[in-house]
Amino acid sequence: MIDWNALKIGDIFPTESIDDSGVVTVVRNEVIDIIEVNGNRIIKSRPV
Amino acid sequence: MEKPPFDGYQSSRGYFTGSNDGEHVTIGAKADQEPGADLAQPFSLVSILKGILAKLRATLTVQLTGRKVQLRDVTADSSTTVNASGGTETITVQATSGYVARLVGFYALAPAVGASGTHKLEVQVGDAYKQSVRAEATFGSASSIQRFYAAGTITPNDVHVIQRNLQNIRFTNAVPLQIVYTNNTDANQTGTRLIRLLLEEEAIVS
Repeated sequence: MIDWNALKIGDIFPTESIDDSGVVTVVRNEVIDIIEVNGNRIIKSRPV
Repeated sequence: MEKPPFDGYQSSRGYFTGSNDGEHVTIGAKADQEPGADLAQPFSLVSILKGILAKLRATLTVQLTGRKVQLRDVTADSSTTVNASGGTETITVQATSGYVARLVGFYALAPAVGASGTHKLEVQVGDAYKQSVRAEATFGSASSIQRFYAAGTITPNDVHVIQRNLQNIRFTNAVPLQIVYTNNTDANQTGTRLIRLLLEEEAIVS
């Protein structure tokens, strides 16, 4: 399980992507931005 | 008159019967006696009452329990370039620590992009296995998921089901909400994706 609170900009973390036929792909994501809005943490990421 | 059977504690002046609350009070009073008191021995009524009185005069621990509810207005817009031909961006929104959040208002829109292909917005909780809603639009149209409207090819293919799915979403700090944008058009998406949330967050306090 991903520790979302521990992530910082530049970190790489894996996720799984699954298409409609059930094929699973492991994706490596990079954190590109983190902002806080009224106490809610927002993490922007994209595959690398 | 036949003497009733003993079923309680014997004092110096008689019997304490009662196997319910009275018995519990008696036991509690005994427990508050001086350390080392022989609890197996009968206590006098006055002694027991003194024990209860001492308990009432002491500092009583009071514990309040209940719930806290708050509304959160969250803007999570993004204008980071999402490359053509399969580029994606995931926006992860964590609830306030200790709270469970649900969506009261939801708006996500990606502007039209490119000259061919499609682009889409997906809403999921935690990971891609728990996807709730998807809206996929062709290049010339915006892809959007809104509270009472969705543009493009929507999954589920019923806006009322989409509304219900959005309403049923619950997420936390550790299992966050995610909005995933995928650009399968032939041009980079440089337009701002508007993502606006109104959250109701609830916590049980003790």
